[in-house]
Amino acid sequence: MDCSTQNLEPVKAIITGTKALILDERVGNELFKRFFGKPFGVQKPKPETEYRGPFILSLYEALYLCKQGVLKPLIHGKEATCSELEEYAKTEIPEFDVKYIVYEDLRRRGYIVRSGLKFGADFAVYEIGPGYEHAPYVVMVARAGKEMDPISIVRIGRVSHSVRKKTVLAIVDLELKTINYLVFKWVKL
Amino acid sequence: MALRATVRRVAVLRLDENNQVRVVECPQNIKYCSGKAPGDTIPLLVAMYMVYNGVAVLQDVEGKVLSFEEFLKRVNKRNIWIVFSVYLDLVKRGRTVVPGSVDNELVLEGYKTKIYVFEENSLVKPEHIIEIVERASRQDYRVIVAIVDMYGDVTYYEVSKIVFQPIMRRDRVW
Repeated sequence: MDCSTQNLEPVKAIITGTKALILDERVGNELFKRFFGKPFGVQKPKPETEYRGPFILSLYEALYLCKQGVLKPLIHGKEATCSELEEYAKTEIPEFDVKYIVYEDLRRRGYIVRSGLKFGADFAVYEIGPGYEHAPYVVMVARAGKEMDPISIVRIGRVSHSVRKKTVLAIVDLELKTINYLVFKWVKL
Repeated sequence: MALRATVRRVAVLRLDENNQVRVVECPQNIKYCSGKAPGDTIPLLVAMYMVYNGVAVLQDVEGKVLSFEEFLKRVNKRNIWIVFSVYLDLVKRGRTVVPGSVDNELVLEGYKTKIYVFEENSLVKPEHIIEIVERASRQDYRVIVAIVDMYGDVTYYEVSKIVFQPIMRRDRVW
């Protein structure tokens, strides 16, 4: 499975709301095969299938690809830099800065990072990829220094336990530039 | 047929001015204070458990007997009830539990396990959980967090650090 961004041509992406839209089908399919984005309007798309129509990326994916030099963002119709995209994303998505750091860290380590919405978490993380396995991890991101309600751990812990996933809390310290990952496993004592 | 009355002996404890509980008398059949001499202190949670279960009577410094309710009023520690909920839950499950070195810490005897009690809606800084895990790990202890909901029901989670080992993929360039 090739999940890298090697040999990808830079592609323009229209930034709209909290999404990035790629109209180039060929590049969209190439990216989707590497687990970036998703063909628009297709439920459970398969990586080995070619799709028509636009492809939708999250802003995490868009910024990551921008930093890899394979995505050129268009914000309000104008070409923008990766820094401008990052600033834009911070205004659109709460806690984008800490969540993106986790996204990038896991991607750099070779993991596939997708939305964790259906598990009540920030990210679902795959070792092989969606369509090939159930996500072994669900990740919730927390900012060091910002208090959290422990009940949020229960919420995602219960769901992930029922689907046999590991619940991970990623704690990002922006000052120390560290990420600590804690795994929570529901136990009967 | 002759009826034989059994007299159930209970421990006598005293709550002093500093909210410390001291043993006045501990019958041999009561394990929670066994080995303690008169004047020795026993942990607040253990005393609460004993009074709650009727194996001890608690007196104030003047010898007046205090009910469990009066005991709670005098102790007046913010977290004491939720920690007590967890203590009670674990004892009911047959575990031997001792209070730890900080207010919300319990130790499972014989299992090298520390339990940290958190309450729904009481906010916690995430780095505090890292500190707990790292400290316990250095002492070779397992960490459990006990999260108590609004009705006192407890959910337990084992917490440990995880490292996402890099996965080597074909054609990786970074």
